Amino acid sequence: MTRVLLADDHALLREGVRLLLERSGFEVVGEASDGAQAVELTASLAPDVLVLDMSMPKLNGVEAARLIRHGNPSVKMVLLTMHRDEGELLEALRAGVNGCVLKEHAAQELVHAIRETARGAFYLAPDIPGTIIQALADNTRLASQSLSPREKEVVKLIAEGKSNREIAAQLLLSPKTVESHRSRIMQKLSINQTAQLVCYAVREHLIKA
Amino acid sequence: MNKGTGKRVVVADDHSLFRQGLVALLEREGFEVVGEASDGHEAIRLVRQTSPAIVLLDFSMPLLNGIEATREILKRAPDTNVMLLTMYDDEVNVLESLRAGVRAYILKNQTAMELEGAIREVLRGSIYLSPGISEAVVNACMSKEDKPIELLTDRERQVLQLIAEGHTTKSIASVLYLSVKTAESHRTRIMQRLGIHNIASLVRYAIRRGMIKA
Repeated sequence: MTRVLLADDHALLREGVRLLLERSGFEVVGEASDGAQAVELTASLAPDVLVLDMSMPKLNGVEAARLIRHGNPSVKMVLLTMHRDEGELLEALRAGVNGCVLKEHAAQELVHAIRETARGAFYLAPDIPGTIIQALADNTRLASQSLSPREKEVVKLIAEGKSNREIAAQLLLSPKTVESHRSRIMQKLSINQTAQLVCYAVREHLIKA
Repeated sequence: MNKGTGKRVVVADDHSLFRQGLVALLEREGFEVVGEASDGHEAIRLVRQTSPAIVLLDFSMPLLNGIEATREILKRAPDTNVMLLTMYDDEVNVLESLRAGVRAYILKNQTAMELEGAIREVLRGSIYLSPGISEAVVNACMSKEDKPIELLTDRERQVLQLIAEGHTTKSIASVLYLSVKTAESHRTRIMQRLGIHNIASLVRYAIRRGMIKA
């Protein structure tokens, strides 16, 4: 039976997932409620697969994964995350994670990820952007990580509610140039609505809500 | 032991992994989960169809968040025990949730056993707040800040969440079963009432008021 260690700071999620995994035939050998504990328990319990949440106190999923991978070349790690943040996921893969599943996915996805990684395969849940794999393979940066300073300025002004004309005036550009910055930004971030752009700006601290 | 005594529960959370785990825990304790939803509108429909004793709602769900769903549910079925679940203990809206009629406000870092205890309290008629939340409530009560004036109607807030999530007017009309014309006029009135005339600023307002997460 595959031995699994669960690390997530939300007890309710841990306990529910434990129940589901036990029903799917896994042996849950322990639970950690923060990144530091995840590192300790992986060392002491030697699970086959560690399921770890991205956002945990003390050490987040990526930091914990890095430490664990350093001390333990063979344990498999499946990252659980709430966001489809390409940059975050790429970092996690580079830190040594073997699989990623979003929390909005069904439990079956996690079961699948554990089984696949346990047998040595890599697993990215279906709708996680494939651009990550390319970036990993090429060892390049993702397009979304390379917004130019000018583009960031434009994002900020769009998020402030300024029209293209106002942005053009403020940045001493033509409205057409602003328009083309805007479409390049949307393309780089793989989004197509102002609402999403505003959320991006708030998340990246380019602007306060 | 059948502690849940077969009480009927509807569970709504857009994180399927969490929701499915929660359902498994509830069923193990003897509750009967009669519906699972991943957004507030679906939750309302299921409650209407199944008339459960208890509804467990996530605070932030797409299309319609937990507080707004609570209001709609209680309009038609005021005796329903609605309990909100949340990941964050710094939620702006604890008081607003209580005003909306929520019977419990629970942090997801509590254990299944604590959740069951909360459900039992609520079934007994009490209000239950996770220890971490109680402090936020007390601070909010003690704070000299005025309660933010509610400028929008329930329906307008429902429309605003959808606008902030990037829905077109057509899509908003469809989700809320309105004519496009009505959706359009809600949109206009929201902008007038808030004094905000562009989408970007509407989105930021929605984030500030805790209606959506960035």
